[in-house]
Amino acid sequence: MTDEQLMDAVKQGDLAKASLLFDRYHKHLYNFFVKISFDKDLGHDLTQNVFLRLIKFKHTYKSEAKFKSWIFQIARNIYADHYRSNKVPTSDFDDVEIVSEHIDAIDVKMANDEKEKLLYIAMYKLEQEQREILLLSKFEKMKYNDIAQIYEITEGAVKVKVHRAMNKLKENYLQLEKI
Amino acid sequence: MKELMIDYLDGNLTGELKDFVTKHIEKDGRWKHEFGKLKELSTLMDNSIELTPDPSLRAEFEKMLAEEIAVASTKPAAKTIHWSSPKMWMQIAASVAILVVGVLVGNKFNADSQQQELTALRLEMEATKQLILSSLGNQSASSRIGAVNASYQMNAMDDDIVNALINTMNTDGNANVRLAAVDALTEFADEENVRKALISALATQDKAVVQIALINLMVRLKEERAIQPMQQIIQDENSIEVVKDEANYGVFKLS
Amino acid sequence: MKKMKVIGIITLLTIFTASITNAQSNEYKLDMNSGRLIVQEVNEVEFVGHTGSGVIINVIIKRRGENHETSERAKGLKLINGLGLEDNTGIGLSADKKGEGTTLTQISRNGDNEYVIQVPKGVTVVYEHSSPHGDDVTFKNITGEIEVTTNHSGVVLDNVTGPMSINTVHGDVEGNMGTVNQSNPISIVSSHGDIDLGIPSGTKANFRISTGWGEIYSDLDLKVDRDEGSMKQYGANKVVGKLNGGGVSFDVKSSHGSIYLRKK
Repeated sequence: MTDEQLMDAVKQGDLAKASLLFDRYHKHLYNFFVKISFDKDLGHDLTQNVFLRLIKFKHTYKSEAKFKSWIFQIARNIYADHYRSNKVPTSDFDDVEIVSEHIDAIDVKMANDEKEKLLYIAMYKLEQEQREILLLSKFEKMKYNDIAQIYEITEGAVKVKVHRAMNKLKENYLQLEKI
Repeated sequence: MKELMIDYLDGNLTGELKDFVTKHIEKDGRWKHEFGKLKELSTLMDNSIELTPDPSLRAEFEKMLAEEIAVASTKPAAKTIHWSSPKMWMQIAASVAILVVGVLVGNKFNADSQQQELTALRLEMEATKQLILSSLGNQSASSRIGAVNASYQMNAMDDDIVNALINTMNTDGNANVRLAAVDALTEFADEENVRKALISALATQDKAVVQIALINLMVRLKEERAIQPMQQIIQDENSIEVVKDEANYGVFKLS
Repeated sequence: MKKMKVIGIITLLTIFTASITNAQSNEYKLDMNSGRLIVQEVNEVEFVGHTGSGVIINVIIKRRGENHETSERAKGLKLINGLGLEDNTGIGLSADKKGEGTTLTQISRNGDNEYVIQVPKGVTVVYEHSSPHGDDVTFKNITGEIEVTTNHSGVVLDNVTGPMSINTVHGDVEGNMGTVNQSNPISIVSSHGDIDLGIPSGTKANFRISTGWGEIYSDLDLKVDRDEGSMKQYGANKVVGKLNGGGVSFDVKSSHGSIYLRKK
C-alpha cells in the first residue's frame, strides 16, 4: 500500500495502519529533528508528537495529498512551535564549541568524522528556515515540488531558497575549515 | 555562475549550458575550488549518518496507538464508515437526527418554513423516527451542540453531515447551536458548496449573534460575494441596528 | 424574525397597567422538578439552585407611583396584556404550562419587580430577554442546564456547573464556574460584550476561545493545540487548548469584546 493509501485508511478509522506509517517514517523524522536541533531527547519527543498529531488530526489529511509533504508539514510546525516557545537566543549559534559538544553527545560516529561534524556546525549557523530547507531537499531528498507544498510557496521559490541556503552553507563551511 | 553550479551538481543542466559549466570548472581555478566545495558538501549530505532512535520510541508509539485505538472503539464515530452497514448508517443518522430535533423543538413559531425543511430531511427522519420521537421530549441545546461537535469530528465529512450542519446553522432554535454549526462549517469553508451555504445563510439568518459572527467570518475570508447579502441586511427595515452596523462595516471592509 | 415580533407584543402592548390586586402574595410555587422552565422578558431575575423540590418564585414588588385609588379600581380585575396572557400567579407573571415545560412571562409593566426564582436540580432554566430594560440576570448555585438569550442584559454566573448555552448581543457575561459538569458542552457567546470567568483550577475541559476584534487574557494552564490541516486562522484571535488533560467542550466567543479567564 502506498503512504497515501495507508493514511486514507487511518483517516477512515483503521488506526492500526498508522503502525506501518511509523515504520516508514519514524527514522526520517527523528533524523530531521535531531539534525536541526542537535538534541537527541528533543528529537525523540518531537517525533512522538508528530505521530500523535497524525492520529489526532487524521481528519485534516486531504485524501490523495502527498503524504510525505503532509507529515513533514506537521513536523516543521511542531518544531516551529517548540522553537517559538523556547526562544533559543541566536547568540548560541555563534559558539562553535557548544554546538560541537552537542554533536559529540548525539552519536559517536557523527562526531568522529571531522568533515561531517563541520558540516553540521556550518548548518547550525544557518537560519532556521534555511536549515529546514536543506534538510528536506538534501538530506531527505524531497523534490522541490513536494517542498513547495509544505511551505505553500511556488516551486521556483523553493529553488531560490535552496540555492541561497547552499551558498550560505558553503561560506560557513569554508570559514570553519580555516579555524 | 553560483546558481548554475548548483544546478549542475543536481544534474539539472543539459546541452550547451552543461558544457559551459564543465569547461569553467575544469579550467578556472576559482570556480574549480568553489565547485569542489559544493560537491564535497553535497556528498557529505548524501552520505550523512542515519541516526537510529532509541527503541523506546517505538515502544511509546505502540502504547500511544493502543490507547488511541481503545478510545476510538468506544466512540461509534471512529469506526470505519461502511455505507452498506445499516448500523453505521443509523449512528450517523442519529447524529443528524439530534440536529433535526433542534429544528423541531426550537422553532415553535416558524411552522411554515419548517415544512420545507422537513421534506428535505424526510429521508433521515423516516429511518430514525423512533430516535427522534424519544429525543423530542427532552432535547437540550447543549446536547445539540455536542451532536454538532461529534458530527464534524467524524471522519467521513460527507454531504449528509455537511447538509445537516447547514440546516442546523439556519434553523436550530438556539443561537449557540447555530454558531457551533458555523464553526464546524468554517473548517470546510474552502469547499464551494459550504462557502455558498455560509454566504446565503447571511441573508436568511434571524439571530443577531449569528449574523454578526457570519459577517465577521466573511470579512476574514475576504469573501466579496458576501457584499450582496450584507447590503440586503442594510436595506432591510426589520434588521436590528447592531446587525446593520456590522453589515456596514463588512461591506466597507470587503469593497 | 417572527419570534422577536411576538415578544415585542408582550412587552409593548400591555393594556391594563393596574397594580396586582387578587392574591397579594409575594410567592408562587410550581410543582416541577424536571423539564424546562422558560422565563421570558422578565426584567429583574435571579435564579438560585436549591436542594428542595419544585420551583419557588419570590417577588419583591417595587411600585412606581403607587396610587391607592387605582388599586381600588382594579379590585376584582385581572392584570392582562396584549397576548391574552394574564397574571395567573399573583406576582405579575403569567405561567403557561405547555408540552416542553412552563413558560413564565412578565405581565406587569412595572419593570422594577425583582424576582428570585429557586430551581431544583432537574429543571433546565431557559431565560430569554430582548428589550433594553432590565438588569443583569443572575444564576447562582445552578447545577442543571442553562440556556440564555439576551440582547442587552448581562449575565452573572455564580457557582454554576453547566451544561450551558449563553448568547448575548450587548451584555457582558461574568462570574465564576463551579465544578464543571462533563456531560454536555458549555458555549458562551457575545457579540459586543466582554466575557470574564473564573475557572476552578481542577477543571477538565477542552477550551475553544476566540474573539474577532478583542483580546484574550488568561492565567489558566492551557495546553495549546495546533491543527495543521486548518493552519489558516483567517485572522481571528483564537486559542484552542486543553485544561488538565481535557474534558468537556468549553467554547467562549466574543465578536467585539474581550475575554478574561481566571484561575480560581
